[in-house]
Amino acid sequence: MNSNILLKASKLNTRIFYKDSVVNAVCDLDLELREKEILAIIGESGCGKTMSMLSLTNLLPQSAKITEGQILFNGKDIEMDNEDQLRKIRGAQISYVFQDATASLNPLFSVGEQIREMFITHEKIPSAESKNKVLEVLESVNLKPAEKYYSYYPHQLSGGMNQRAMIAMAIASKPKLLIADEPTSSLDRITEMQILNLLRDLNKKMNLSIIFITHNISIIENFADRIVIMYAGRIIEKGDAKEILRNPKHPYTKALLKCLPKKENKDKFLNTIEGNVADLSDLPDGCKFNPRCPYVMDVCLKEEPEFKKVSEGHFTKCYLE
Amino acid sequence: MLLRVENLGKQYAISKSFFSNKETIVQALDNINFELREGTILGVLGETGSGKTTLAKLIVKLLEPNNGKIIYNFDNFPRNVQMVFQNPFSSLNPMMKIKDILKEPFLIHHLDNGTDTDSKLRILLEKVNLSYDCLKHHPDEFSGGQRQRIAIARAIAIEPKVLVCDEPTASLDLSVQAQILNLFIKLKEELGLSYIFISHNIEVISFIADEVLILYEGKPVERGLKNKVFNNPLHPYTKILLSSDIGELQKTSAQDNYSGCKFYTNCKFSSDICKQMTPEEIKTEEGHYVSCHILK
Ligand SMILES: Nc1ncnc2c1ncn2[C@@H]1O[C@H](COP(=O)(O)OP(=O)(O)OP(=O)(O)O)[C@@H](O)[C@H]1O
Ligand SMILES: Nc1ncnc2c1ncn2[C@@H]1O[C@H](COP(=O)(O)OP(=O)(O)OP(=O)(O)O)[C@@H](O)[C@H]1O
Ligand code: SF4
Ligand SMILES: [Mg+2]
Ligand SMILES: [Mg+2]
Repeated sequence: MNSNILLKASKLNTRIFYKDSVVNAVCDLDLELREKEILAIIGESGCGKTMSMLSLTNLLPQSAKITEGQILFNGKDIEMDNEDQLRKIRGAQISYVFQDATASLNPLFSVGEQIREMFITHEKIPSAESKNKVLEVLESVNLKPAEKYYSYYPHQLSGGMNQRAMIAMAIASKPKLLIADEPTSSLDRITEMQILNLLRDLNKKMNLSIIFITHNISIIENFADRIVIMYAGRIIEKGDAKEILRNPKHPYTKALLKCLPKKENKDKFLNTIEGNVADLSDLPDGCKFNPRCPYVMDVCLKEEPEFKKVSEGHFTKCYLE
Repeated sequence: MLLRVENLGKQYAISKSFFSNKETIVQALDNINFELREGTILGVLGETGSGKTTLAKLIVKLLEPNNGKIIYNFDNFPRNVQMVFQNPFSSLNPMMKIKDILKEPFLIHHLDNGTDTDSKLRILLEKVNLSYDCLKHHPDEFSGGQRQRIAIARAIAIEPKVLVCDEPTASLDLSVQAQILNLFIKLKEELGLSYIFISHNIEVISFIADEVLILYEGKPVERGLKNKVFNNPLHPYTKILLSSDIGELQKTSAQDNYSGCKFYTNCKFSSDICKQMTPEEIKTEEGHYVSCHILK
């Protein structure tokens, strides 16, 4: 594997400024992505996954600001207030599949025309050729027959079709890095597999690197090289995907993996993690998981743990041995 | 029996386009039949674009059917049928605070009596694991999963008889998903709530559903008691859907210009009749229905 670092975020902090309070949605995030790597991000609802990814190219909502940190892409500093540079990077080099698929498609243009626009502006493909290119990419995300879906407007597509149109748009510009926020959440298992195979192909043949957020643990093992697990705005465990799924170390990760519904499970209720979902505006001192942790010790209440090496390429923030 | 769906069908018209200069008709749903019994959960499965959301919208009367009908065996229609929409980003009014969004169902149905409603909101938020503080914010200040939970809280606020859920947990992490599914089971047992529950997640359907309905390109392929269908799937599509080896299904472009079974181009058991005629639904055993020619 090529081990050049494509993206490196250090000590990234993003705050949200509400009317009468400030919340630290991303706290001291360190993230490294090598070229051609596929990284999965999992974590609790509302823990800051989307905010972290939007921070990388400063696509944050108005109320949110990066207050600290550095981001290197391809060895170069991404300057957060240099809109010109950011615009060049977004789309052409880093493209997004947003969590909200409908908001990122323009309701006034057909899906095909929107993707065609993408080809003409980013890829400088002559207008006459562009139509065939669009049909090709629609076909690749399984919107078949492509001639039919070319002229569909976003509101005429089902949830999963919308999501695939978004993916088609994101890969059309041949980016180096794809950041995909729950890109297959509205797809059935079979279509999801086909989309993941397509992304795997682009990863192998076109050196596409991918960061994707997902709640679907079962796709990670075969798709991702590495995983990052987030809790309360922080990364609390990270490492090789297979290693972490088999040998999770952080009590949150362990508890989370036990909540997976299984066909053979005949219990009336599913396992859950006791206690409240972490509230970013009201976090405890020390380890942020301490109110819910079954192993909590004195030290956990006082000081936040730092990353500790579990094994080669596996790190966790927890005091447990 | 709470609700009965008879020969339900829905078409959409797509206006002319760049590639064709005549209006085309999409048959999004065709010939759907089922019953929803009180205090049960009907799980709806089917690939993307197979008509699940269309079915949900017909049941809550956001769409009018072109064929067939839905018989509601209870009074007070809008109050007793609530829906959780597939996309949490467009289902909450961005102009309203969460407090007003959650209060609205009480107001509309004249169930509001001041202080009592406040404590009800508190309990509601606890059920979906959101903090009380969220009441003062607007929907666009929340993450996808948080919005989904607000939508769920709104739908269960006034305890309807039927809850139509379109992918209600697709944007939730495993632990919060488990809490919400447990909540649904409790509401079913304590209040006798019934659900139409759409999901792509077979494990979730397997956990929560009493009965299942499986769609393929708008047509019913198999339905019935979950245990019968899951333990003994008979339709070739259901077999692939439920098997762990799903690599074999390569969706070929569906051609609209033949009148037979929609699964024909993908089916390895197909014969000539499959291309010519739509299979009728047959009962293979008590509580198990399949639409496939090979079962005749
Ligand atoms: N547009 C916004 N304005 C203000 N606050 C926001 C906004 N979007 C999210 N937040 C807040 O920021 C925090 C982090 O949200 P984020 O969207 O990153 O969560 P997430 O991990 O992606 O969750 P999910 O899995 O539910 O999508 C949440 O507590 C949320 O309330
Ligand atoms: N407003 C509309 N106008 C035209 N066609 C539509 C409209 N809404 C849906 N369709 C079409 O109807 C079919 C079924 O769509 P529906 O949204 O019911 O699918 P679904 O099963 O919910 O899919 P998904 O799992 O992707 O959400 C699709 O072919 C879709 O393109
Ligand atoms: S640091 Fe302490 S409280 Fe935090 S997860 Fe580890 S044992 Fe639990
Ligand atoms: Mg998110
Ligand atoms: Mg749908």
